[in-house]
Amino acid sequence: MGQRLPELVRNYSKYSSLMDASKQTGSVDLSRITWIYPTTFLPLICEFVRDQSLDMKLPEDQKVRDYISTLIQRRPGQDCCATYLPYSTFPVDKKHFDPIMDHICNLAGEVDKTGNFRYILGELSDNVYQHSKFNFAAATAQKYPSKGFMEFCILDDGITIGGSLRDVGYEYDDTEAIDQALNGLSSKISIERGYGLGESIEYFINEQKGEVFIASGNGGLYMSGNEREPLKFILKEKYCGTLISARIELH
Amino acid sequence: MDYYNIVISEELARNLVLRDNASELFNRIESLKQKHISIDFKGVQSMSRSFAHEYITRKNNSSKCINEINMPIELEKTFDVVSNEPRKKKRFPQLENARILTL
Repeated sequence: MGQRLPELVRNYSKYSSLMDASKQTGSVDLSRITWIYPTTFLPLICEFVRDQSLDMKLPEDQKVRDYISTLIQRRPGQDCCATYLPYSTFPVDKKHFDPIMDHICNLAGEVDKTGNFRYILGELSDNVYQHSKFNFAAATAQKYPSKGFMEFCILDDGITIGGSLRDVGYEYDDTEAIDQALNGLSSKISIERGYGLGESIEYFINEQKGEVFIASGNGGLYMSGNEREPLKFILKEKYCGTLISARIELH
Repeated sequence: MDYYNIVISEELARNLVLRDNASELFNRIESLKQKHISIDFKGVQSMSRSFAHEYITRKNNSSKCINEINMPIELEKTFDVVSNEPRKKKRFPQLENARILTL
């Protein structure tokens, strides 16, 4: 029997299963959810934005129901959110992007002793604007002090990493495209391009000793700064965009 | 000497993140009458590699004489890294032998 998949991967898989089940009913059934992480929650939000006819069955657990309602209804900057950030959408007009950065970095707080988290968030955000051709992009984060980590998720509904590379003639499938992009391949011609994604992942797994999961199109990838082996995935259900999730230890 | 001063944190943002913002900055710089431009980095909190790369590329091709003042040390380091980029090697060679699973 194989080793259980990392929780970050299982969180994504939970989202995928919920969406798969909703195809039959037209409703995302969260009634039996007792806990929801950003990697499950944020792509669900993206689905609701994309398909306004999609219905949701709220959790029976009152605490989880209140938590989800808060995440959906509160906007960044409202009230004092010490451990979580209501999801923050990326403005299409880049001029308004700066406050979003501040909100996420304020949550990171003690995680970002060196200022590198802010730097990496900048890189990932610029990738969204440069490559994805998104209609919807968002980020969210949640600290779990008792569990000792922060989970962060950024996603877009754009053309995917593989799509971006295929647009300029690189014929990689989605799984291999993620590998290539992490190792420096860029859809932009200049040889100095192609560092941002790999550097970001290196930060999460090496500097922060954390974990990362990427889903893009039919491709997926998991890496860890701990003992766990890297894993590549073929996603049965295509992710229509790019999702990057990371877990970082709280010290 | 007639310098035109731009406080970049007010012109753009305190977090210099997006490559396109660097491009827009230099479009504005090129449209100015003055030849000598001073870019004041006071108040800047962070700068992405992407922004730094675009900044350096556009500065090297600019018709103006541009100098930077009040540059935080962290940003100087980012400019140094971008200016002296080593040849790309495989950052994650361990991925070559990674297992492929269906999810």
